[in-house]
Amino acid sequence: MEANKKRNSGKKNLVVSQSQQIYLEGIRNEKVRVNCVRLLILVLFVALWEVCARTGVINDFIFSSPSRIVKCFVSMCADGSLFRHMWVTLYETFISFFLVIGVGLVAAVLMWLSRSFSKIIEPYIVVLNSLPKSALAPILIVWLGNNIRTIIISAISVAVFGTILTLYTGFMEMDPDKIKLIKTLGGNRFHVLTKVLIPGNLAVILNTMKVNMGLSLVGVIIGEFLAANEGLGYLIIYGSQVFKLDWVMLSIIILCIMATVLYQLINILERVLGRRYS
Amino acid sequence: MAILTIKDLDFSYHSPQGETKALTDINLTVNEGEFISIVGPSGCGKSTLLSIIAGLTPVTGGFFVNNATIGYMLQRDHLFEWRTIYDNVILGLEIKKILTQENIDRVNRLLERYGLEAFKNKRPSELSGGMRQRAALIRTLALNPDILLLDEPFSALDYQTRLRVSDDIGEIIKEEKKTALLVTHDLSEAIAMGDRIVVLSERPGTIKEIIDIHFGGLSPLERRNAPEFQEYFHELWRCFS
Repeated sequence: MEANKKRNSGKKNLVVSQSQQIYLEGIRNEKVRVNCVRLLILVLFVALWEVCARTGVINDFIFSSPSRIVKCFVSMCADGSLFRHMWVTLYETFISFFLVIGVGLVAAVLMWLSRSFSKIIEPYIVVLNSLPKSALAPILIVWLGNNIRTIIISAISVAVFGTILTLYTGFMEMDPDKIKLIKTLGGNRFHVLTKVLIPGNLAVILNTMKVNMGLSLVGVIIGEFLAANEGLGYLIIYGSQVFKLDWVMLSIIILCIMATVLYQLINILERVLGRRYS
Repeated sequence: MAILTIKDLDFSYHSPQGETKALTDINLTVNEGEFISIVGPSGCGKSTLLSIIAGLTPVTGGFFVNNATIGYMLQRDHLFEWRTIYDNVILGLEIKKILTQENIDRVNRLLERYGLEAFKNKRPSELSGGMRQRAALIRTLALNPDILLLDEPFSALDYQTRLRVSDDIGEIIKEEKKTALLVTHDLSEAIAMGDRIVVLSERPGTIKEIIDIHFGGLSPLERRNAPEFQEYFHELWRCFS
């Protein structure tokens, strides 16, 4: 599809009329304008923050300031502690993410395989899905201890129930005639799963991956707030307790960047698979 | 020679609201190489009958003897967009794990013979409706079935395409010497393609009449222009009123 579009627009570019040129220029100008304003907002915000902190309008001990954050960033890079915290959070997020996808897929397949199992289990999953998972975190510490297990389980609990429901719905919404087709070709349920449900739900699976990347990060941070001595979540909660607000602000900024990069990773995966499968 | 015999077949649907009799007292013998059209008012159980013959729906009464392997063609082509045409066509071979050189050669021969050779590596969305339906037929033929069950396979096509594709598919089935059962609600199509027409009654569906059709080797499109066509149409129409 995408390749087609490119080809078409390429063709049109060969015979550019004046009005088309004006139209294209308009699009380009708009893009530039949007990007400029975006950048401007960021620059103004950072500048205002810095100025307010320097002139004493806000207390930079509590609100920190861009320059203090940069200084903090440099010193923490120098002693390597920042990388350790980032790595820990990233590592926990990835483990949770893959476990959520794995557990979600297996559970959704089991529910699809047995109508009665899905009927029995569905209300539980719906309730657990709507439960605010941060409420579970304190129990998890008591049960599992102050360690990485607690963090990963709390991250999984945030994302897994929604994943199961989304994938199960995707499976159930598959065109029954496509399933009938597999049966007319002599296939069984295993073939229905591997030839139709999984490839046919690739878009759904990728979408839940996108959502889960973010949710896993949320879960990991909740876990780190309560049961960690490393990681960005730990840095945020510890920093706020000892009034090292530079740590807190720096961690938040790094989390913003991390979340964006992780999201983009899935986008790239989507594009690669999309090119192959549709 | 009889390839399929249906005897005293009954079929009921069950729902919490009660039992619905869909088919009753169906008796039919299908001979090898025959093309049978099945027509009837909507909801008379035409598609259910095919589903039963294909073994997808268990019978609830009566029985049928089936000495043949069965291929099924659905209303829409259901080619998978995530596979190329070639990968779609070999789907059945892949499922049955019989991707032998012999079978692959047959698929390639079919693709070549019916003008899809150049589209082997294309996605279904890049093909016209007629070509897609041809690809769907080749997917069914890849398993070399003795009987083809066609469940309104042209109903999703526009009228012109439909005429051309039904001619096309009719010829392919004749050439490959297959037995076929076509379910349709289009009376002209039934006459243009069938050697015999089975008329089903309203629900519960039972065989109301069987009309023999003789055109002496004309193709579906040629049949539509033959003088007998109108007579058959009137005869068939009378069965409905």
